[in-house]
Amino acid sequence: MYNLGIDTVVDTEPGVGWSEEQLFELDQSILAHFDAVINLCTISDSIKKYGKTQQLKDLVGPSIESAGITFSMEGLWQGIKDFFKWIWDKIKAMWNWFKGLFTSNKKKEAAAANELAEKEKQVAADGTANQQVEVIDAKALANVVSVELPKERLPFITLEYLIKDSIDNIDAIYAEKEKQIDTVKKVIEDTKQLGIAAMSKITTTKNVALNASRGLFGLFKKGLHWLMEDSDDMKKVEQNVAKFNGAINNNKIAENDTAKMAVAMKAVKQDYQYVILKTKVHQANVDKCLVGLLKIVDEC
Amino acid sequence: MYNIGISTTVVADQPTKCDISKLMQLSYELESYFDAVLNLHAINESLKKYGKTSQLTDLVGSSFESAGITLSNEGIVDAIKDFFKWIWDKIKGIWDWIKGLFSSSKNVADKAKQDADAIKSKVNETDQQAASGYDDPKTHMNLLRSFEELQKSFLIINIPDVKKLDGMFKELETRCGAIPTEGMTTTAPSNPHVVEVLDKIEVILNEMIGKIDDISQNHVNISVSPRQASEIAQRIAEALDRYKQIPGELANKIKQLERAVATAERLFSNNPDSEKFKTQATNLKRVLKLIPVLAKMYDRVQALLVKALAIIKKEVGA
Repeated sequence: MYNLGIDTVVDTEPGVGWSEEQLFELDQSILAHFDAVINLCTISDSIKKYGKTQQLKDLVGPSIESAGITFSMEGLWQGIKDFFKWIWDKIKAMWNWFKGLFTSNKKKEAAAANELAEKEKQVAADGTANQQVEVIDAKALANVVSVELPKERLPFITLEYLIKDSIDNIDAIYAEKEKQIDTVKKVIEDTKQLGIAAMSKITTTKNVALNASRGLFGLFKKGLHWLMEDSDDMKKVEQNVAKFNGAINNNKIAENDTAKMAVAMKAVKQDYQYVILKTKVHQANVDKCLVGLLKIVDEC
Repeated sequence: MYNIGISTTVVADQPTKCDISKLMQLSYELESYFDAVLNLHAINESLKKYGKTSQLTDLVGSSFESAGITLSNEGIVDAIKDFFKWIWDKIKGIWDWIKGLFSSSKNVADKAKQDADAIKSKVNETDQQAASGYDDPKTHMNLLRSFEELQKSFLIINIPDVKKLDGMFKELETRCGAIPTEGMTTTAPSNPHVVEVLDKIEVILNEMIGKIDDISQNHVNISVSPRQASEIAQRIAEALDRYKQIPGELANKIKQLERAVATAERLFSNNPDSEKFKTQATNLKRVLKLIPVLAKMYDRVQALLVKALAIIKKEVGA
């Protein structure tokens, strides 16, 4: 087969700041490497079950060799270990991205609070509070950013599962997690269009508009709170990946555990994916609130 | 096998602006579709040669099932045809993105010209005011005064070192020029060395992007008269005016690539087992991967120049 996701990934220079571009690059690399680990585990398991047949060699051999992996049980296991170490490194980088995002949001929060307060003072001093202005529809925007994601958080798949085989209903958990991931994707798609539509304008007084702007500021802060929760969840994913990495290297997970390892990796990937997707929703929401409130302040 | 690239593509939050992450998303999806097409092609070959063995079914069956594809020769051929429809959709998306870049680059260049003109006017105005203050500039006292004024009027500007860009472009040209590219053309990327060559080019481009980021972040202090600052601003505006042509060139490349995709599709329709199709699709995938890197470099250079111009404008007080 041509591409199993194990071809050498070109490490790009990190982008400037805590940008969407940087998140995209990190995210795609992590997802690709999760797929690579899962695929290598599955191939390893296939060899165990059917042997290194000519069909398997033809199908995946060139891909494995071009990635510098020896096409043997030992070689594949080494490949899995290397890829997993790589995932752990990148998840750590993702954690740093979250920290940077937090700092950047705090700066935005302070700047927006300042602008809002200044404008309120100015409007009070000018005595123009009841003057009519045309501003973006804050209520419509608030409705868009208030769309909630699934509340119930499903358990993270842990190393204990892999070692003790203690989770019986793994398929059901996968399916449920997959549903949650799809819901978040749908929210992203829906709110994207609604967000654009919510920028339409209404006529109101400066006083009411500034009040609405304060409401958006409140939603912005709520979004920051959700982002804090996301970063806590990302920390859990990182800790989980770290545990798996330790277990692989200390031989707690052995070469013949690849079938179970593939199952666990699918679940860890799902946990990771869910956190990143909801972070995207929350960050998009805080950005929408900020753009909205600054537009109102500007127009008052 | 869990993921052979035929699972539903992740839909990320696509920003509404004409920004690089949107192009990266489009390019990534396009690349995944080419992976899927190539993987399906390989599985089809395996199916024909060895049959639908248990090993193959175990390996790829669940992926096929979740993507709604039948694990048979006919099922795979149909799926590849479907993937081509999505490939065309994404290429259209990239084309639209480039069109957006074209108009935003024009706006950036126009704005830069306005800023550079505003800087020039401000400097001229200041010069005239200064000149009108001296009755006879030839007298010793007035010469001394004008010298002191001139010294005072020198500006220390903390700015990205835009001169370094020239050196960087020369290095880019030399290094890319040193890569042997015999027999390679953009319109017919069927040369077996395409992947190898483009891998090398991508590494160089990424290094250059890193250097641009360094220039952008590590400012230098320059001491210039307001007139010299205005001349730098004019040159930046001229550079941005030249750069606005680049999206047009990128758009031409996309048109050429569209023809190459049409060739790949035709090769497949004529013969699903075609080896030429496989090479064409492999190389196309690689070529397409380079587009966001090129756009990223363009974006970074543009942002750097705009940033430098804004600093000059502020320092001159225009």
